[in-house]
Amino acid sequence: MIKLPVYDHQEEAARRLVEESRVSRLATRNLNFYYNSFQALHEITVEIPANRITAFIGPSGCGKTTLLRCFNRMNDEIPGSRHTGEVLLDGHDIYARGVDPVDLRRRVGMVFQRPNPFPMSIFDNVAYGPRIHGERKLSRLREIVEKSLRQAALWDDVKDRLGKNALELSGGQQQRLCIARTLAVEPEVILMDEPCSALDPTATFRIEELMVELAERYTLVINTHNLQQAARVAHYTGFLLSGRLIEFSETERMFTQPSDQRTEDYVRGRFG
Amino acid sequence: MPEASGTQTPKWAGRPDAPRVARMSSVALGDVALEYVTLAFGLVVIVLIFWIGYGLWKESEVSRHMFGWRLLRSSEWDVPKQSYGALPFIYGTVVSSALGLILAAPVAIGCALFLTEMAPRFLAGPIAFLIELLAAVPSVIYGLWGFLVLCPWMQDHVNPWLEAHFGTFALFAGPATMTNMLAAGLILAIMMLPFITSVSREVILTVPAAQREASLGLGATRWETIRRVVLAHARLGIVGAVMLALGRAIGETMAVVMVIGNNPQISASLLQPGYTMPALLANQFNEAYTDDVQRSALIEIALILFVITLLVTAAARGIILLMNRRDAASSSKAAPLARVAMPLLRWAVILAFGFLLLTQVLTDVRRHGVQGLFGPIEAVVLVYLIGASADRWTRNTKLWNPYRKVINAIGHLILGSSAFVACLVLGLLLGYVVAQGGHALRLSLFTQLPAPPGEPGGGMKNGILGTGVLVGIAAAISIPVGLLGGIFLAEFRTRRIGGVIRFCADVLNGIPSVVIGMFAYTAFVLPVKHFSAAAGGAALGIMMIPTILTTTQQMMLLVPGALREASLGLGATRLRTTISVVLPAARAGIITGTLLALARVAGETAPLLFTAFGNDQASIRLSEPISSMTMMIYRYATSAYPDWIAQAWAGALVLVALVLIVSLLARIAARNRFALR
Repeated sequence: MIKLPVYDHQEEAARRLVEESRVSRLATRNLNFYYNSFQALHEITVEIPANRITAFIGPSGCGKTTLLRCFNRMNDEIPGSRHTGEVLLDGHDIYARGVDPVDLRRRVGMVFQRPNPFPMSIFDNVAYGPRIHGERKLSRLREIVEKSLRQAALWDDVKDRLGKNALELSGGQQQRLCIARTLAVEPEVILMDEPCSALDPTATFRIEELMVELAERYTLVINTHNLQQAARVAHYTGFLLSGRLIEFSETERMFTQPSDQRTEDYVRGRFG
Repeated sequence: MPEASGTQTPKWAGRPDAPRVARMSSVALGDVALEYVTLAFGLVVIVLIFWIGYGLWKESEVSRHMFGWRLLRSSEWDVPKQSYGALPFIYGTVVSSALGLILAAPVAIGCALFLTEMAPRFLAGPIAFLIELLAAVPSVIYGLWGFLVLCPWMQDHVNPWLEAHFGTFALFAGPATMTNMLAAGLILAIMMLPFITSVSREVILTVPAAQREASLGLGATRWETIRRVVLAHARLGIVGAVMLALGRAIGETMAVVMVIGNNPQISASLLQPGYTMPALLANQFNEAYTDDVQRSALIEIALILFVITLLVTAAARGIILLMNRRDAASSSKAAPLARVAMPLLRWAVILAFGFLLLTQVLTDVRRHGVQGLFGPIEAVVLVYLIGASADRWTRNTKLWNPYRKVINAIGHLILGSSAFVACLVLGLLLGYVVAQGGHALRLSLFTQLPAPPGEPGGGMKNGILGTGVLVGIAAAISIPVGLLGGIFLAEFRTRRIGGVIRFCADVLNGIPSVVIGMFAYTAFVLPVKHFSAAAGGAALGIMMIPTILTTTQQMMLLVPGALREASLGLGATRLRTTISVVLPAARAGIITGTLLALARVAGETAPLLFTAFGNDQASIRLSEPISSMTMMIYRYATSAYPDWIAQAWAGALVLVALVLIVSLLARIAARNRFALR
C-alpha cells in the first residue's frame, strides 16, 4: 500500500460531510454521450457536493474530459456530439430547452488543460469576463482584477507589470492567470481539466494549494491523471474507465479500501 | 564546405583504401554546388525587379523629358495634340479601387467568419471550395459578366433609383451612363470578394480552438468571442489580405476596362464614366506602338503603376509592423499613435456619415414636409441611434444579458447575410457563364479558326492552341527558377540574402500583370520590333515565378527538421538529403501550387495584348504573334456581333472548366499529401 500524503483539512471535512450529508450542486442522471457513432460516456449518474473538491481519475481516453465538458456544455462546440440523460445544476437540467449555454458558463467556469491566456495584457485577460458582463468603470475593473489575482495567488508576482503581455508569463503563472480570469466572473462552480498536466512540480504545488483555498467558496471539479494529486486535494474521487463510472466515494476510502477490483488495480498502479 | 579546401591533404588521400573521411572535400563539392546554383536562381528574382524598373524608366525617357511632372498634374490626354496628362487615370484608379475595397472587405470578412465560426460542416466545405474556385476565375470573365449582365441590369434598375433618391449628392449625380465608376467599383468588389474571403478564412482557421473555448468558457457569446478574440488574433492576416487585394484592384485591367466607360474625366459622380491607368494601357497600346511619344507616355504610366504597387507593398509591410508593435506593447499602454489615431478615425467616420445623413434628412423634410421624416433613411438612423444608446442604458441592469443576446443574434444575422450576398453574387456569375456558355458551346469552337467579323460560325482553335503554347513557355521559364530559388530559401535559411529574395518575390507578386506586360514589351518586343509568342510566354513566366518560389519554400519548410536531421545523421550530404528526402516529402504541395499558378496565368489577358498580340491563324511558332483564349474572349465580348458574344460566353465556360479541373486536381494532390503523413 502506497503511503499517500493527506492534507489536514481532509479528514475533518470528510467527517463533517457525513454529519451534514451535504447538498449536491451538480449531478448527472443516466448520462450517455456520443461523438457521432462513438459512445464516450455510458450511463453516468453522479452527485457533486457543494463547496468541496471532487476529482475524476482514470486512464487516458476514459471520458474524464468529456464528462467535465458536459457540466458547462462546452461539448456543444464539437460538431456531431449528442447526449441522452440529464445534467443538473441545483436540480435544473442544463440541457433543457431555453437554457442558454452563455448564462450557464457564467455560473460554471472552466480552466483548461493547457494554459490559454489571450494574447493581451495581464489586466485585460482578467478584465475580459467582467467587461463582457457589462462592467465598464475602470476603478471597479481594477478592484476585480486585483481581487481575482490575489485569490489566484498571482498578485504579488505581477502587480508591477499588469500592462505586460500575458504570454510573457511562465507556464505556471499563465495557468494561475487563467484561474484568476475564471474567478473574475464569480462563477459558482469551477471545472478544471487536468490543470497541472503541463506544469512543473513547483507550479503544480502552488495550484494545488490554491484549489484547497478556493474550495472554501467554490465547488470544484477537477480531472487529473495524477493519483497523488487526487489523494492530496480531493474530498471525493470518481474513477472512470472506458466511459463508465466504476466507483465514486470519499477520496480516502477510494485509495484505502476500494470496493471494485478494477479501482484497486488502478490506484495501486497495476494498469492504466 | 569552402573551408575544407584550406586544410592539409593527408598522405593517404587518393589511395583506394583511404578512409572515407578523405572524400569529404569531394562530397562537400555537391553541397557547395547546390547552394550556389540555387542561389543563382534565387537572385533572378532580384535581377527581375531591377530590370523591370530600369526597362520602364529607360523607355519612358521621351515622355519624361517632354512633360516632366506635368504628366502627373495635367488632366488633358490628347493624342493628336501630343499632350498627355495622367491625372484622370490616377483619379479613376484610386476611386475605383477604394470603392471596390469598401464594398468587398466587410462582406468578405463576414463571409469568412460565417464559414469558420458559424456554418455547419456540410455547408462550409462546398462554399469554401466554390469561393476558392471563383478566386481563380480569370478577370476577363468577370469583365465579360459585368459588361453584358451587370451593367445593363444596373442601368435599368439601380441607377435610376440612385439618381431619384440620392441625386442631390454629388456622388450620385446623374445622368447615369451604362458603364461607369460605380460598375467598375462593383466588379472590382466582386473580384476581390473571393480572394479576401479565402485568404481571411485561412488566417481565421489558424486561431487556436483553445482561445475560442477560453472566451466561451467565461460566458461570452459567440459574437463577443468573434469580435474580441478571433478577430483580435486574425487581424494582422486579414489586414494583409485586404492590402493584397487592394494591390490587385489597382492593377486590375480586363474587368475594369470593360465596365468603367473609358472616359478620361474627373467627376465626383459614381454614375459617370471614368478611366484607369491599366485600362488606358490596354486600350491605347495597340495603336501607340508606332508613335514614339504616345508609347513613351504609356510606358511612363506603367512606371507610375509600378511605383504605386511598390508603395502599397511597403505600406502593407509597414502596417503589419506597426500593428505587431502595438500587440507587443500592452493594450492599456498602447502606442500613442494608435491611441490617438483610432478614436480620431472613428469620430471622423461617424461625423462624415452623420453629416451625410443629416443633409439627406433635411432634404427629405424640405421636399415632403413632415412626412419626409418617415422615409427609409430616417428609419435606419432611428434604429441605429436606439441600438447605439441601448449599450449604455442596459449596462448594469437586468436588461444587459438580453441585450447581449440580441446583439449576438444581430451579429449572426450580419455574418449570415454577408455569406448569402457573397454566394448569391458569385453564384449568379457562375450560373450565367454555365448557362450562356453551355448554350453556345459547339465542337467547332475547338476545331475551327475564327470567321471574318460579322459572319456566323467559326471557332477559337487558334486561341486554344495559343493558350497552350503560352502556358508551356511560361512553365518552362518559371518552374526551374521558382523551384531552385525556393530550394535555396528553404534549405539555406541562414543566408541573409534570402530575406531580400523573399521581399523581391513579394514585390514581384504584387506587380500588376499589365505592368509586367509593358516590361515584356520593352524587353522582348521593342528590340526586335516584332510581337511574338516568346515575349508573351516570358511575361506569363515572370508572373509565375514568385508563386512557385513561395510555394516551394513553404512546402519545404513544412517538412519536419527531424526528417532532414535523420538523413544528415546517416551521413548523407545536403544535396542527397534535399533531393531524396525533402523534395519528395514536399512534392505534392509543390505540384499543387504550380498547377494553380498555371491556371492563373492561363487566364491572363492584359500582358498578352502588348506581347503576344493575337493572331487569326493557328500559329505555334515562337517568333510569330499568337492568340489566346482570353484575348479572344475580350475581343468578342466587346464586339457588336451576337455570334461572337455567344462564342465569348462559350470560351469563358471552357476557361472556368479548366480552372475547375485544375482546382480538383490540386485538391486530390493535397489529399494525397495528408494521406502520406
